[in-house]
Amino acid sequence: MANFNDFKTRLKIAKDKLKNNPNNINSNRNSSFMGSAFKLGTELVAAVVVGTIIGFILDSWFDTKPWLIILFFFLGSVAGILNVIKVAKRMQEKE
Amino acid sequence: MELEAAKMIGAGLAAIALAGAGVGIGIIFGNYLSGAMRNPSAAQKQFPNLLLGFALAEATGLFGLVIALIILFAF
Amino acid sequence: MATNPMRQFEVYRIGPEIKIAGVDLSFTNASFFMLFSAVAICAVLFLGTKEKKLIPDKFQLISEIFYNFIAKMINDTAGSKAKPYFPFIFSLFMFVLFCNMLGMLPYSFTVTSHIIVTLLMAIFIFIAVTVIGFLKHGFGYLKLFVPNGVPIVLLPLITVIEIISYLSRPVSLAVRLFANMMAGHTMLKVFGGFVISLGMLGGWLPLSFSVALTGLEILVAFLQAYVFAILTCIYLNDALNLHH
Repeated sequence: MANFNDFKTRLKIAKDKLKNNPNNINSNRNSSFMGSAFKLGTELVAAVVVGTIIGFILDSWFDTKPWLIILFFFLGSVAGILNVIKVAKRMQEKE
Repeated sequence: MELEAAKMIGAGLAAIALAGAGVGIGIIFGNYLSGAMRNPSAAQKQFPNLLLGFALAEATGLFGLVIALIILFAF
Repeated sequence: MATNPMRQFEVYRIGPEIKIAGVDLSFTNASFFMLFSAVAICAVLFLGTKEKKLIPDKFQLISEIFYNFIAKMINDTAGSKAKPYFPFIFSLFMFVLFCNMLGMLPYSFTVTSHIIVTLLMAIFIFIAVTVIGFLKHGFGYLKLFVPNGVPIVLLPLITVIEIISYLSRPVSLAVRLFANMMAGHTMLKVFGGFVISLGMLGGWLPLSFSVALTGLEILVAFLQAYVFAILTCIYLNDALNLHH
C-alpha cells in the first residue's frame, strides 16, 4: 500500500508541474510538425521521381534504354537523401 | 531430356537446401536453451538476438526456395 | 473462388486506366493496399498523440510502445549518433509491419510479397546507408572493406570478398522478406485447397494445420518486419561507426 500512496503523490506533483508551465508545445507548433514531416516526405519522393523522369527523357533521345533511367534514378535518390539529411540535421539542432 | 522434366528435377534438387535451414534453426534454439538453463536471469536480454538468428537462418533456407521458383517459372 | 494458389499474387487494375507516355500508371490493388496501410499508420499515430495524457489511454499506449521499441532498438545497435535517422527507421518498420499484417486478412493482398516492392525498399536503404557513410567519413568510408588484423598476403582476397558481401546486402534484405511472405501465403492457400478436396471426412486435418499455420504467419509477419528494421540499424551502425 505504501507504494500506491507514493505513486499517487508523485502523480499529483507531476500533474501540477505540467499545469504550472504553460504548454511547452502549444497546438500551433503541433501541426507544424506534421507539415514539416509531409514536406520532407514529398521532397524525397519528388527528387527520385524527377531524376527518373530526366533519365526517361534522355533515354528516349539517345535510345539507350534502360541504362540512363537506372543511372538517373540513383542520382535522383542520392540528391533526395542528401536533401533530407540536411533538413533532418537542422531540425535536430533546433530542438 | 526435355526442358519440362529438367525443370522439375532442378526445382526438386534446389529444395534440398531447406535441410540446412532446419539444422541451423535447431542449433540456434538449442544453444539458446542451454544458455538459458545455465543463466536464467540473463536469458530475457538475449531474446532479440534469438529472433534475429532464427530469421537469418530461415532466410538462407528460403533462398533455396527462391532458386527453385526461378528455375520453375523463369526458364 | 481462386483454385490456383498463385492467383492471390495477381496485380489487377482498379478504376480507370492511366497511361503516361506508354507507361501504365493506373491504380491497382497493390497501390490500394499500400495506401491503406499508410493511412492506417497515420491514423494510429495521429489518434495516439492528440491528447497527451500522463497516464496513456489506448491509442497513445500503442504509439508509445512502437516509439519506445524502435528507439531502444536504434540505441542498442547503432548508438546515440543514429538519433537523426530515427524517423527513417520508424517509418520503415511501421510500413513493413502494417503491410505484412494487412496481408493476413482474408481476401487481401500482401504488398511485400512482390520482389519489386521489397527490392526497391532494399535498394533505397543501400543507397541511403552508402550516402550517409560517404558523407560522414569521406573516402575513408572505403576502409570498411579493409578490416584490420589481416596479414598483407590475404589482403586483396579479403577486400574482394568484403566488397561482394557488401553489395549482396540489399539483395539478401529484399529476398528474405519476399521469400518469407510469398512462401507463407502460398502454403496457406495450398492447405486451404486440401481442406476442400478432402471434404467432410478428412477435411479437419488440413484445417487444424491451417489454423496453426495462420498463427505462425502472424508471428512471421512481425518477425520479418523486426529483422528488416534491425538489419537496417546494423548497416547504419557500420556506416556511422566504421566497425569500432
